[in-house]
Amino acid sequence: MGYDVVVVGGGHAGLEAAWAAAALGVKVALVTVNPERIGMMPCNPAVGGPGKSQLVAEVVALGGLMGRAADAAAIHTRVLNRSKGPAVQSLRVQVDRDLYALKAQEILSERPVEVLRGEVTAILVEGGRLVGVRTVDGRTIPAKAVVVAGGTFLSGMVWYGRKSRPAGRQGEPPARFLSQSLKAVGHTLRRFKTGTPPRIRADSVDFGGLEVVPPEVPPGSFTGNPGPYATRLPTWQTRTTEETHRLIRENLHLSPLYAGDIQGIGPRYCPSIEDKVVRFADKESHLLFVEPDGLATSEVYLQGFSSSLPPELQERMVRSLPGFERAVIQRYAYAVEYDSLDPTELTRGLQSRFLPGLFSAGQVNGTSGYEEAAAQGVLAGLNAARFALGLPEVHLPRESGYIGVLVDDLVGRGTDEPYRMMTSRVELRLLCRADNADERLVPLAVAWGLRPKEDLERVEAKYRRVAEELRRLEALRVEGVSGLQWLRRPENTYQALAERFPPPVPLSPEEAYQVEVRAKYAGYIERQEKLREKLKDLEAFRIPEGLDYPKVPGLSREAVEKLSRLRPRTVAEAARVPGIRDSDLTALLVHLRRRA
Amino acid sequence: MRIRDPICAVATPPGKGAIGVVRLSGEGALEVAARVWRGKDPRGLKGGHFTFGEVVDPKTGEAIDQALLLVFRAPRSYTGEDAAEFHTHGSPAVLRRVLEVLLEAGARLAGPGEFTFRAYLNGKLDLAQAEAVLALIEAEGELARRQALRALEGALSRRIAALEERLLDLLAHIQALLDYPEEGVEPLEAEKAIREVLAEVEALLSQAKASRLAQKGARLALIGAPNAGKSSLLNALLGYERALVSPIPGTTRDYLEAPLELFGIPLVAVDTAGVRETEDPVERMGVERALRIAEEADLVLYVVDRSAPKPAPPPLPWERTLKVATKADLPPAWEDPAFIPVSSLTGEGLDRLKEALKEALLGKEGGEVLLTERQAEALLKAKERLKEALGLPQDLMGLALEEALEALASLRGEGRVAEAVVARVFQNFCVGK
Repeated sequence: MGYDVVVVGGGHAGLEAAWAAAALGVKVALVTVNPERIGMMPCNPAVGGPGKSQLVAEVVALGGLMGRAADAAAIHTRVLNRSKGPAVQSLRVQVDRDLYALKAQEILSERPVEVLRGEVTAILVEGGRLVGVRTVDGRTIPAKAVVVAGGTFLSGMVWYGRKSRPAGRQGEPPARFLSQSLKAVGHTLRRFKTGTPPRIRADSVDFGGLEVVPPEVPPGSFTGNPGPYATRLPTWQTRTTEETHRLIRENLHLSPLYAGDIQGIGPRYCPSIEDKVVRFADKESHLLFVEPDGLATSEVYLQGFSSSLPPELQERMVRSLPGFERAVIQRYAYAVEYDSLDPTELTRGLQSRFLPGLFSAGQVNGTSGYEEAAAQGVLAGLNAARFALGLPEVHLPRESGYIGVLVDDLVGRGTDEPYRMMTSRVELRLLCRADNADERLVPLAVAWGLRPKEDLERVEAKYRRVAEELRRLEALRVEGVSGLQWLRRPENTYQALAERFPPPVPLSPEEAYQVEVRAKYAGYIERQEKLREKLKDLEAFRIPEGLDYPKVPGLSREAVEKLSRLRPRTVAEAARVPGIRDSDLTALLVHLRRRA
Repeated sequence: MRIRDPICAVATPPGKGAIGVVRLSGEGALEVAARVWRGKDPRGLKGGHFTFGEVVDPKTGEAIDQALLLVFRAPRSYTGEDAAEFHTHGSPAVLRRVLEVLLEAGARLAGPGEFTFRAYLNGKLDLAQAEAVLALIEAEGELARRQALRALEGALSRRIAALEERLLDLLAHIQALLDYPEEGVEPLEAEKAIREVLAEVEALLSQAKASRLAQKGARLALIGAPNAGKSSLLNALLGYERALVSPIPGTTRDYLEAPLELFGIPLVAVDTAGVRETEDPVERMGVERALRIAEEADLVLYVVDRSAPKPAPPPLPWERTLKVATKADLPPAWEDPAFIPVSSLTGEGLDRLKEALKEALLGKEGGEVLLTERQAEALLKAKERLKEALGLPQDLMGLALEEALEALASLRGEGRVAEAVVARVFQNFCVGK
């Protein structure tokens, strides 16, 4: 019995891939070692934050399920950077870990995705064509397209102190054979590393001694529908002490990283507490975030305290923290080392350059984070379904938003550490805001079959009203200036304006927000639009697929090496490759012109 | 590297000539031209046609010069794009102003060989010519590289690099705050830091003026009421009698030009007719002319007789005007510390005036650094963005600083900023969970 698309892995990438593929009406199977744990959050119980909430908004716009699951399972929400400008305002939602997984599975069941239990050991190729996958029990699952979303499971190795054992996550077996199969296809694998902090039994924590961060009221949401528990719980903060730092400094030799046991590359932005203490030796204390695991608060997550020191030392370290003097560790912090693909060997549709029909998404592509994984899942699932249907690959260009930047960075530049999304990576961040993800991406989602047509009509109607209101304000005279100019003054708000000069039909809060942002930031938005045009300009210069770079006169040796490896499709992509100079681009342009 | 946006450059050789030509080419070139043109709308003209009118400063509406405007329509132009040529009078001051207003109207300064490069991209040149273009571009690239290398060893690059470092730190700090809002990154005194960088950019820019003046020379206009002692002052500066001096007000009816060299800068001093309310039509023409000369000059000396009552000040470009109180040997009728007292008779105060002239022309640092026009353009862009960054919310401030940094980086031929910022965030700040 065959499938159009087989998704390997039930994490956040795999979920979205299966969900997106199923939207196109193809036959989808999701294969996972542990179907009960689909949608599990192995790291912190939160979705969103700077850079990531923008990704979630785009996943939502593309019809993905992450926003819905997070909203339904929310127990605490917060908008970060509220006063720092529209481009960086970011929603973060704390969720109930179990409820999130449950909701994700519930949503997935709305579409006919078959969930199969099994460890995939090989990608099956016949006569150079992908034909399916094999599982550890020798079963063959025929498929036209396969999405590998193996997370940290590929040859995963978990470390507690200097002791290690093969595992994909704590207590779960790794995928032992899939790496070999990917290598056989031609892919390069690298060892990456990440870590998680210890989980503490909530009833052993003295919350009275901690700083309380209350949830925001009214709550925020990714989909416009906050869940029933979204204002239920606070989070807390504590700090490391002198004693914590002393314990770490005196026992560094017990860390597998400092002892040299782990060769994998860890992310700079997810430093272990050991790293923080060593690298920022002048800092006397580090802030830690205490996040409840769920409504029952049976366990708290000690954000900022990830460690690979041995368990008995972790006990002492945790107990050196205010409020944790009698803390009982439920699960110890650990580091995990795993295989990841070199994403420069993928297309911008996240398809293998070596084997058509093979796609990959999530941590296995060298990223970190649920949101980054989900974003890739949508794109890989969509393209896998299209492949099965005989349709060409579709892409999200860099200027389309955060997912576009994520994929362009991964495929066009590569990454030598687990890649995390940040607002600073997005040149056009003022145009690509979370609040207008619907305007940017719903038209594509509808065209690609990820969302129903009515959604497009709704979004178009929304932005038509916004445009009409902006036109009305331009004509309106307020205190001697146009309504738009009046709104541009920092002290003025759209709400105040609409009260004095109401529009014929009142705007929804979302529409009002759009009007305000567009009026207030018009000058900057316009400048970014010009920048986008310039980027597009270079996008128009396509580079033929098989271009022989050594034969391009005037290209530096570094450029030949990098461009041959990364194979940009346009001069714009070439321009973004690190180390490529203007003179290289000139040489390239002249050469392309001569060929034409 | 952009390849379609409107670019402009002076096409005639430097120096004075009967006519001067400024070329403009690219997508939207005719829109840019229309913004600085008073006369027939160039957008309505057929390719290959020309029209007579005035180049104006769109901000003030002030006329810069009368000119012919030639319109070319793609693909029938040298570059193959829409293009325009302004044929003005061949004064460097006029050409410079025309370029300035074009830059403000949305064009940018063309890179070396860029018109030809575009002609090639648009298929206006054949293969043999293209070989030559490629060689040219490569040669210029090579030269630019060598120049960049030389400059790297010099003062300018070190100073620019230091500024980039500071901006990078600033940006990293802002990004750390924005991407890690909760992690106790210490708050940033952005305004203070931006102002410091801005001051440094402005100091460099003042050198740009000096270096341009050193290469091309400067015009110095003497403006003041009749009999204020302009001609005597000019003579004192020149060291010999050049202007006709008499005690009768209004002796200099038109204007006189005298070349002189001060601090290694070739100067043309222009002694003008006295500026006052007058009924005499000939003298009035002289007055109007004097004010126009002041407008075009690189530096103005506003000359007032201190022994007589202080007249009402005429409309002058005060930001580049030095105030001089003459006849300091006579009993003063007024005191004003903003004026430099000078006696052309005794030579008193002349040294102080020369010092002030030097500072006004060369800046405080005395023109040690040579800047090209392209470098000055990059600095100017950095300056604008830095000014704008002050007082913006943090995310917009970040964007403005990013652009300022990119402008500075382009000075040294460096490229992308984003990755450097990300790296710096983790180098400088203990963030990440």
